[in-house]
Amino acid sequence: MTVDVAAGPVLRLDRVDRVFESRGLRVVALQDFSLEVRRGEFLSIVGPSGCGKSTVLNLLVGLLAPTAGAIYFKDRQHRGINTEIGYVTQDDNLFPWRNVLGNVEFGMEVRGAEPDQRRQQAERLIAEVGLAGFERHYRYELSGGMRQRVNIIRTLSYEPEVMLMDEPFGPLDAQTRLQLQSQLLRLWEERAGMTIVFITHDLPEAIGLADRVVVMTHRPGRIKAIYPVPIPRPRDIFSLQRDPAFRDLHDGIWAVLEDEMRADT
Amino acid sequence: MATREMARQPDVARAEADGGVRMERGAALRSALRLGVWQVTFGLAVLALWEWASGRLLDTFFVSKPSLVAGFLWQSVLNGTLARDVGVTMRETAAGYLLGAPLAILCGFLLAQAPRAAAVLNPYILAVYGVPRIALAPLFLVWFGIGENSKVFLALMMTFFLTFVNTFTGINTVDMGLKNVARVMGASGTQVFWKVVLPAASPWIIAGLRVSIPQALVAAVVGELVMSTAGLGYRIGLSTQTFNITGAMSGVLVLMLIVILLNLALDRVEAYLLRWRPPSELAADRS
Repeated sequence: MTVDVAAGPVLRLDRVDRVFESRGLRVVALQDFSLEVRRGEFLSIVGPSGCGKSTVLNLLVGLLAPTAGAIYFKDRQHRGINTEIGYVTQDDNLFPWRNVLGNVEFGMEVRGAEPDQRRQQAERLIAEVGLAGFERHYRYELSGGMRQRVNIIRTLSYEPEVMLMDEPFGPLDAQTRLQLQSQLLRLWEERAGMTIVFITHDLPEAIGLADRVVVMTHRPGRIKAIYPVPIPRPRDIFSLQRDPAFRDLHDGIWAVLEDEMRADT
Repeated sequence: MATREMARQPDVARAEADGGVRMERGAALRSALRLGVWQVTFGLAVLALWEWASGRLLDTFFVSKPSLVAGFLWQSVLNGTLARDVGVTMRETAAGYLLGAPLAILCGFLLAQAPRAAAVLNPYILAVYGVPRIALAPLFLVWFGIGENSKVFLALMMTFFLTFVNTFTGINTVDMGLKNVARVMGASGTQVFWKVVLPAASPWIIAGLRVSIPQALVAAVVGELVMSTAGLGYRIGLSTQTFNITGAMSGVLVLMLIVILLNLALDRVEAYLLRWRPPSELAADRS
């Protein structure tokens, strides 16, 4: 939770362009996009759909290369997949042939952790998100919310310094969303120094979770504004929406976001 | 905080998931049993109809009848020809299958790694696929002789093409998202292959391995029919040529029995290997 400004940003996009071309059509997803992610912060990115939010994450983790500009991880330019970053995708992408335990162990397994050790770690995390008893269940036997929990803890299992999250709660119902948001905050608070970059199209979610909210413009994606969230932690996500500070911030950002969404139509 | 709500929610989901799965299994077992009874009943009814019609509606000389077949089979058991024929055919089938299947999986994997080569070969592969390969049986006899070898190669060829195409397709359809997630989590190229690509393609490969078994058997029997000195196909051909319809029917029935037993075994193997798939996605039909 402590933001160590002196140590410099953990991630930095420096004047990044990203262009997609398909069937002769050229789409500028990001243009002159610069952003610093501070060490240990929880950063939310909101913007109209199709504004290139997911592209930002794919660039940060190295699944995409920038068309122009550079990406820095801890002040060093990074190319290719960055395995020090965890990536929680919108689709749960669980391996259907592995049960819950096998999925949570995957990251530790490929990183060479001892079987006993990774089993223990996995069981601990599974219990921590309330999935004890489901260790041997396969993907098809889990609800959407349970799948996303597994998706999150399998990324946490090998303790990456940075976790990118791409609308992880998007397809879930409102109640499950709140529960998972609250759980995510607790998991993050327990891991001092971990940085989260969280993409969402849901403004209350962005504000409720984050230290800073980045608002993006519609295509080509640029940064419209960045808002610090002055709500103290630990936060209770369930009662947050009644907080006047939350409401003021929400209304302020909404006015800006609304313009961008209208520009899209 | 909200820990209590959170702890409760999975319980509900658990009850749903567990209860649902368990109920499904119980119901599936019962319906499978009922299905089995109907299947056996149908088979017996067909035999009964045959027994009744033979000599009444149809000339027994041309269609034989179950009681005669049973007698013939009993004789074949006693004089050892049945065991020898079944043994030869199964040996040819198994040898061709066991050589062809690993080769096919290997080639399918290799070709999937070389998209350019795959693109070049594609029309030829499809062309071979379109040819009635069993029509090559006489050629194989010319190449490999009238002994068991030619039948082994025929079975091998049938197995190879079915498994090869399935393996290739399976690997090409592996979800990019799963591969990316594995790479981001730190998996090396080799690990992605063994821990993601192979299991993700396994339903396709298993389907190929599965349909290959009866096809390998068909290949061996057809090879024997064309020219041979032993085996079920040889027995069926020889009996037909000497108008021993009872003998021919016996051979056909034994083949059918073998296919039924193989399929029963394969259902089990497939259900076990693909236990991670939702029951509705399993190939085995459930009513």
